[in-house]
Amino acid sequence: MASLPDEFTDLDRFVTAGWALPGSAERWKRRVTSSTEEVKDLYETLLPRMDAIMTYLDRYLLADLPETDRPLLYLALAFMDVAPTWEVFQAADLPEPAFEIERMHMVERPFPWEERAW
Amino acid sequence: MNQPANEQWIRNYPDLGTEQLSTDAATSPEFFERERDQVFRRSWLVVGRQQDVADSGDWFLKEVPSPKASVLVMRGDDGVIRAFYNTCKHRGSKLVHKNCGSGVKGFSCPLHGWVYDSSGNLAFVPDENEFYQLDKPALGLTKINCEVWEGFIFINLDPQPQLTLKEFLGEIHDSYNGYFDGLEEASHYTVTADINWKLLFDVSVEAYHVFSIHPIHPVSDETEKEVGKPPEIPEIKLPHIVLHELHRLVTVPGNPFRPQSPVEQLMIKYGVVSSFTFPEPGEKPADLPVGVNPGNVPAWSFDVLGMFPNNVVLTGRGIYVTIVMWPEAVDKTFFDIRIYMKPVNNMAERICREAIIAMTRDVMREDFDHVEPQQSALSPDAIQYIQLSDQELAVRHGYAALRKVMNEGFRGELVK
Ligand code: FES
Ligand SMILES: [Fe+2]
Repeated sequence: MASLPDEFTDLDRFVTAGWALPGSAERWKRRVTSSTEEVKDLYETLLPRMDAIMTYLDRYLLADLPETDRPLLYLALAFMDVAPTWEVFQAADLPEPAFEIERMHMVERPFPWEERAW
Repeated sequence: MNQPANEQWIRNYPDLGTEQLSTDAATSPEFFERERDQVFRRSWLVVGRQQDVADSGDWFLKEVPSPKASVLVMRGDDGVIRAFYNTCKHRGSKLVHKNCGSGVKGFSCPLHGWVYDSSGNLAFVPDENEFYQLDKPALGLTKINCEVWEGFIFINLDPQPQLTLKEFLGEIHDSYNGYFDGLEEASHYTVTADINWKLLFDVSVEAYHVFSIHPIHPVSDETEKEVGKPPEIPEIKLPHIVLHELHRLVTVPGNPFRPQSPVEQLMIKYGVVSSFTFPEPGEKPADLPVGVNPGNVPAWSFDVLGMFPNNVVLTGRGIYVTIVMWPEAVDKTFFDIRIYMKPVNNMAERICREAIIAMTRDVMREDFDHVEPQQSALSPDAIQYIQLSDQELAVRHGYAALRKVMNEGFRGELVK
């Protein structure tokens, strides 16, 4: 299991819990299948750390991001995916009944280090 | 320019009438067939952006469900973007099976190996001498009319379109002036839903539904939560409506007094601001083309350009979204939804952008979640006519333009 750069080991438990996912559809699925407590924990823990994460990652161009630092990017993206809905609803997903995310087929935008799969 | 208080938009468009409209447009299979033949078979339809085929040899397929057509869009060696039926001229096999690709010289048919070059010409026939007479120059792939406007690739399945693309676009042709250039596709997804294609179009060109189903939408306001019911704030009214012959536009206002959430503050700090989330303060900036915020609305958030027949384009600052609706049946539609945003300069921008994508996606889900039950309840036994308010005038215009084209063709006297 990949772990985070030294100054972010306090966030390792989110990587262990499977939040650091490269695909937009996977991150989305991770979010909407989470409990409220899980999403609350992610949001509240990462919000005060986002400045540090962005400062850290901003040393790189996207295309040059070393493999070891990619989980940190994925985690930051998971936070941004969680945030808008959390801030409005204090929930992992829209109120029921929500349009199932499986019905929205993502055409993924691969990162530069991924296979050109589309 | 904008509508004075207590006046109705219909005064600008008296020909549209005020009567209730028949539901048959969304429920009748007979209407659907006429719509397919009179409208979709004859209109200019958006299938993608020129950056989807950025270089010679880049191509993608568009499977048009109704009228059924497998369309191959390809940039030739000469740099020209063309569209063809994806059908081999030997015995009619399907030439290409994947969705898209890049850098090809051409295609070879999987059945017997006829080869077409990147301009669609028949380039090679295996064992050619066995054929009796083969007019190879006439056996290139069958062309489909294809034109580009402001980077959008349009096709027209009519071999002899009634209107040129420029005529079809009418007043909007010269209104965007490069606005769509320079943004990149940030998100792309497709949805198949059990609705008539027009129902999603209709909710896209009115803001009447926003308070009921879009709590996440930035025009919402804190007071909504406090009093538990939508307040009568003027921001929810459409401040500008323009109805062209075929196309229509409404402006959606933002609420500049809405408090910013912690993540929105983060986005502002890192310079990732779209007018979807934060309305532009004050008057319209000079760098926006005439077609964007055409009413010079203060606290403008974005416009909804309803392009005839099936393309809704949300135009904001630093962001635009296209929702293209491809009818499959009277009550079934394939939606192609793409979000375009400013290319990111650094990692912080890439990260912050994700929040806008997530928010937009959830707003789309809220629409789908409510429009699908609408279709299921629209039985002719239950309801024969729909009622439309002045705030839903662009919906009315959509049906008027559609019926006009179905009845008179594109050259008829259209809605003024
Ligand atoms: S059908 Fe294409 S080569 Fe025969
Ligand atoms: Fe909506």
